[in-house]
Amino acid sequence: MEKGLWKRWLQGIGRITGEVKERLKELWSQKSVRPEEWEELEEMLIGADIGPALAAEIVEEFRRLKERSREDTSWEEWLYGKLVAFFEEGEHLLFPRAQPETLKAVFLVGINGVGKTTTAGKLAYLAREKGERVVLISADTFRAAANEQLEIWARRAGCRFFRGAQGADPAAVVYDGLQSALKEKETLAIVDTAGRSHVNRNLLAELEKVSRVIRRFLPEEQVEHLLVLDALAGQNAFAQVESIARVVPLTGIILTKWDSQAKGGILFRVRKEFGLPVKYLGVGEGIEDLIPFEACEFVRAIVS
Amino acid sequence: MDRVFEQLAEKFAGVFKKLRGKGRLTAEEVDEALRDLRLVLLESDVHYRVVKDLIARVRERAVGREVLESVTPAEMVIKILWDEIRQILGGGAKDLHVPPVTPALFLLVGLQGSGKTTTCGKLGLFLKQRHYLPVLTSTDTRRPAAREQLRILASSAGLDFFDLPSARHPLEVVQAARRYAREKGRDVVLVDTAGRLHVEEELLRELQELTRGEEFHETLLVLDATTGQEAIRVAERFREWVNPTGIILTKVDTDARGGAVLSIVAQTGWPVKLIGVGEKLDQLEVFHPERMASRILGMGDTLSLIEKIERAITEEERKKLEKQVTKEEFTLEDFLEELRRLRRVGSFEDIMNMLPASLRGALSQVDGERSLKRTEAIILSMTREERRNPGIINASRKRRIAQGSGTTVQEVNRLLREFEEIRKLWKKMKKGHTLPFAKRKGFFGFGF
Ligand SMILES: Nc1nc2c(ncn2[C@@H]2O[C@H](COP(=O)(O)OP(=O)(O)OP(=O)(O)O)[C@@H](O)[C@H]2O)c(=O)[nH]1
Ligand SMILES: Nc1nc2c(ncn2[C@@H]2O[C@H](COP(=O)(O)OP(=O)(O)OP(=O)(O)O)[C@@H](O)[C@H]2O)c(=O)[nH]1
Ligand SMILES: [Mg+2]
Ligand SMILES: [Mg+2]
Repeated sequence: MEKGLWKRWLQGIGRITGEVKERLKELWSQKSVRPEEWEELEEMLIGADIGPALAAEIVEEFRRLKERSREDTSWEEWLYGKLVAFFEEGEHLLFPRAQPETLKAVFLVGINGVGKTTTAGKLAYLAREKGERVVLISADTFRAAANEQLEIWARRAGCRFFRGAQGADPAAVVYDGLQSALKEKETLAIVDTAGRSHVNRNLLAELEKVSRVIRRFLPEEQVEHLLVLDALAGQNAFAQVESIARVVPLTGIILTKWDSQAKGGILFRVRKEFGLPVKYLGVGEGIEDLIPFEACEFVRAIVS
Repeated sequence: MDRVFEQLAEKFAGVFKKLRGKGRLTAEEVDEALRDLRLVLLESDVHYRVVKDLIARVRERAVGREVLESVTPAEMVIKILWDEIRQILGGGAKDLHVPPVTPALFLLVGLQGSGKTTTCGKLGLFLKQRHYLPVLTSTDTRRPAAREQLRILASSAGLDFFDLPSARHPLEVVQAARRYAREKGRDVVLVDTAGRLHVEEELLRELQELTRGEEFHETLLVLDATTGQEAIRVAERFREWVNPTGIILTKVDTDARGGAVLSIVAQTGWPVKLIGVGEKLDQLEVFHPERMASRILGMGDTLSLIEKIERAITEEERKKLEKQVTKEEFTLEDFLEELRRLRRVGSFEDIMNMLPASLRGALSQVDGERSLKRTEAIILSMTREERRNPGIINASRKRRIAQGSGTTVQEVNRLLREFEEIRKLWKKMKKGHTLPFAKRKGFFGFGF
């Protein structure tokens, strides 16, 4: 990984945990802890958007650990264990079971403005660097200048661009797009979709339909359904995962705007409650600002 | 959507069950209730510091005579909290003001993807409908096709769009747009900007230079309703650099509870000027603090409905109503009375829109004002006996009623079916499935 990016990544991690770790350390060394202090710790965790329930759980476990133990236990170890348990090794890899040189598809979905189109562009660039032959397919036939936006990204990434007409049926566009990818012997089709409110039934049905087209076209192991979430989102992110997971078989998450210094605590909660792996983090608006999420390194960086 | 509201309703029913039926509340009981409410607020993304302040204030006011001696103490606690939130949200509430200078300059700022460009188009349409002549312009040179996006939006709404592709600096664009507006007799210039994070100092400085170089009459922070705990820092940083004059809250059509806006308003006092409720250009609405307060508390808009009903009901009617709700059965006579009251309270649409979605579903069979009148006619054509005991209405009675009311047997059947549904719902509600605040007031005679 490029050095600058790595650094930014670590910065993000430090932000999630710096304050909290400082606090844990203090509380650990205190003889007794007042109820307000426990509450403060809980609030600090809530402030990182991990949600009230998980925050309470962590505080409670830490409290018990402190009560039970003396010198020989280390809270760092506990924290490492606790955090690492959220993830599995290698789960960030895309298409773990796909044959090389076959056509694969990444289907990007999410609510409005989270960063789908930008992520499509970055992902295309990354995949091309890895030697894939990439086509960017725009299934956003609704938003003004959505096609133009993705087309510019395709140019930047140096890959082919496929679009439908404004107002066309996204499922039909995707079908034609995939067909053309087969013809061109491409190996990766990245499908960008229009942003949609996750409570809009019609738009969810549309998403379902597009997903069905892709799945009819390609076997399961050659398709990734990735939900794009905004790191600045609060607890509503869970409603987003929940309702979108009901219409398409999600296989992972991409968390964008990680450079916002939002604490991104939703990352843990999404993993815990939905079992969905985090695949990438978006860390800026440039084409290289997308980094694979390597959980173990991530946790090690948090705890060390 | 329905399911979400149901969950919220359940959540609240849970909170209230705890408060109900205990008679008087002790300070401990208030605290316990507030503990639950604290979680509700946190789940709604209200910043934890703001939550803390709120809870402390409410506790102070609740653990006192007012609550302890009230007939319905539970309602009082939540009402105090609701009032508090409403007051914060409504504090600076002002309409969007277009000053009498030509042209007035409005600036839209905010994080990436919050909805600035779309809102710029919406605002243009909003002003046009109010007989202003806006011109839209964009200083976004960063996001691919950003200006193209605004140009398309402007043309689809028949709005004037100004672009200066040769500009090297945002200020140049704005200055040129202002000159253009003056020459063409346009009275408002709406300036869209590139999204920027609150931690991107260079970009914030660029924005600051813009606000120092030109006098903006409104600088509006476009805020995404789904924003989490970080919102408060976003507001702090934008305040440091550009000092917004108000907020436009977007994506209110999602089920996000929107606690972020409460955090920000509590922190800054900025008024919420308008809300975005969809992607289309006409989906921009005025902000109702009380609706937002209910939403943050997960209660649909039940409360604004109650307020409205409260205003319309005379004391006498209220007493009669109280009696009615304690009655065991709900008859067509009650139904008729409720319908009439409803007509006085406001338009049917108004009322439906304020209900939580779960109830809206159950009631939508009785759709529209027109059918309200026909329903009334049908019930009036029944005998007293029939109204009290609809079971006796057989085919020949139905024909008579249809004839008498100038409707059809099918309509009579439908009404009876609907009435049966509502009666069932009413019974269920009576069995303790009530939602807050409606115990004595009700809608169609049942509390929700
Ligand atoms: N700082 C930062 N900005 C990002 C990141 N990812 C996307 N953005 C910005 O977020 C804004 C919205 O991105 P888009 O890619 O257009 O979002 P989208 O989900 O395609 O939006 P719709 O198609 O309108 O729903 C743009 O200004 C992007 O530059 C990121 O990781 N960091
Ligand atoms: N559901 C919903 N979507 C909205 C609303 N307002 C804007 N959007 C959508 O949000 C997405 C982002 O909107 P933009 O107007 O491009 O956001 P922006 O702030 O200009 O984005 P950048 O310029 O990249 O920072 C688009 O898909 C819009 O259609 C709203 O009120 N409701
Ligand atoms: Mg897009
Ligand atoms: Mg924009």
